[in-house]
Amino acid sequence: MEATVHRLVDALARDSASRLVAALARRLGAGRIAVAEDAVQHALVQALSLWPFKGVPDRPEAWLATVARNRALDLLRSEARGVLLAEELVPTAPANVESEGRFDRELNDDELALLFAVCHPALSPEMRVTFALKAVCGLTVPQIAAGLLGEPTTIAQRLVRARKQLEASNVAIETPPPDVLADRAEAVRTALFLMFNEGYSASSGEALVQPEFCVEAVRLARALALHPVTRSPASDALAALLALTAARLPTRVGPDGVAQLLEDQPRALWDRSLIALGLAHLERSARGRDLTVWHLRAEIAAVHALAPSTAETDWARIVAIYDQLRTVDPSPVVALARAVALGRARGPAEGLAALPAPDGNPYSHAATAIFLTELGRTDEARGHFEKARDLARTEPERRLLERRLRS
Amino acid sequence: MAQFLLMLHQAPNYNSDLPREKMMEMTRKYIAWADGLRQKGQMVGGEKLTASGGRQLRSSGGKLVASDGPYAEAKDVIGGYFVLEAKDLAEAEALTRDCPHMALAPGNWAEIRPIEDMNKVRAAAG
Repeated sequence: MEATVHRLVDALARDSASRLVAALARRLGAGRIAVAEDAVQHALVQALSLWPFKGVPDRPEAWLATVARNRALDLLRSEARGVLLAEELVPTAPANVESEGRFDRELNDDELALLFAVCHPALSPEMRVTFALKAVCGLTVPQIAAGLLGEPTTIAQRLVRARKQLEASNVAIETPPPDVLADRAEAVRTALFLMFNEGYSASSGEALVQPEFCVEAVRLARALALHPVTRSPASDALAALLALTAARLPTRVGPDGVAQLLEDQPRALWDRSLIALGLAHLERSARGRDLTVWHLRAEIAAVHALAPSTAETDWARIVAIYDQLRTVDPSPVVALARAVALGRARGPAEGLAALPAPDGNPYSHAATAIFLTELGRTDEARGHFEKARDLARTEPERRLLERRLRS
Repeated sequence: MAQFLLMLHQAPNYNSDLPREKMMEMTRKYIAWADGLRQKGQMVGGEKLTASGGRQLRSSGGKLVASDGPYAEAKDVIGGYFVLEAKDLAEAEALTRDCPHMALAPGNWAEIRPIEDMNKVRAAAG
């Protein structure tokens, strides 16, 4: 009996809330996504307050749906515009309630439509990430602000602007028509990649990683790769990239709160099931002729995931993939990563020569310092370690550089 | 066995700002706690109280004066109560320690009050 309650509430937590927001938002229109969010939040608060006293209702999903629907009507009454809401607002039951996996939730059509709407090209990339975290993933403004290097008020204002923009652009919450589907799906993939990066290398603060951003990004990328509308080699490649990279999350920061370089990470702690998941998507991504940036990035992640150690990593292969990636993405981030790989493949002198000018980037300074140390130029290295430490964006990274300086 | 009134104090609407996942996690813990006690026969009953919309009555100068209260703006209201069955205060406290209410929000607290056992009172009176 108790186990049933647990599974039920877990399923509600994972599925029903997002599905309800999506179902309500789709019926209310893009301008009222906030109303849908508030109404569902209200229903959850009610459930939390009442269920412990009275037990779980017979049909909890229907209970939540009714409370949310009534709340939405209440909220809209003040708007004076009448809205017709169907009596039946119960979200379709998830396909696999029994599944325990955090990453195994499929998106229903309502949720996919909402994801497309909040990642609409009318919105700036950071608006898309923020909006998706709020509306699709159900994170709160303070949580998003903590992860995105922003004040809660800034995040709240960004959300308001995003909602207004959607309304002004007359964006409907629906699956895009076939002629623009490919472009719109790419906008969603880019937003999920940014969301993941924010989680994987937090831009500031005490925590280097924001695991919930990563979990949500992997979950959505996987759902995108599995949904009939968005299923494609590019979506599979993105899911592979995010799952393979997320596998390394447990070792990004050591138990002492100090960031760990790839070579210092205990690979036994990497998440084997995520690696398996990523490899399965990578295999699926090879069906068809597409070779996207996601394929290239995923392949690099796979080389790392499968190597027994940094010394035994196929760095030449990684350099070759970065060479390909550089032709489509000439950003300094890619140049930096390529130079680091080159240094591992052909020695620190070549790595150093290939590094882009540091330009206030802590990672460039750190890479420069490491190559200089390996070349025995420790005096020059020190200056770069100091700059990297002063520019470090998170506490665990600053501690790592501090330790290098003391050694 | 004796009965204890467990009053849950809180700021009104304290949990409206929790993220969805967190909210459902707390719900799960809460239900597990209450159901566990129910199954052991130690949960006599309980009710959720609304945070506002109540009335308070006092006698003043021989007259009954009614006022609204508590208000939704109040800092501390009784959000709900349970009646527990336990062998003594120590056990009632131990059961309450497992209640997730206190972990939900910083201002939350619980008050345990033994319920007078009228049989014992009568027996003592002879």
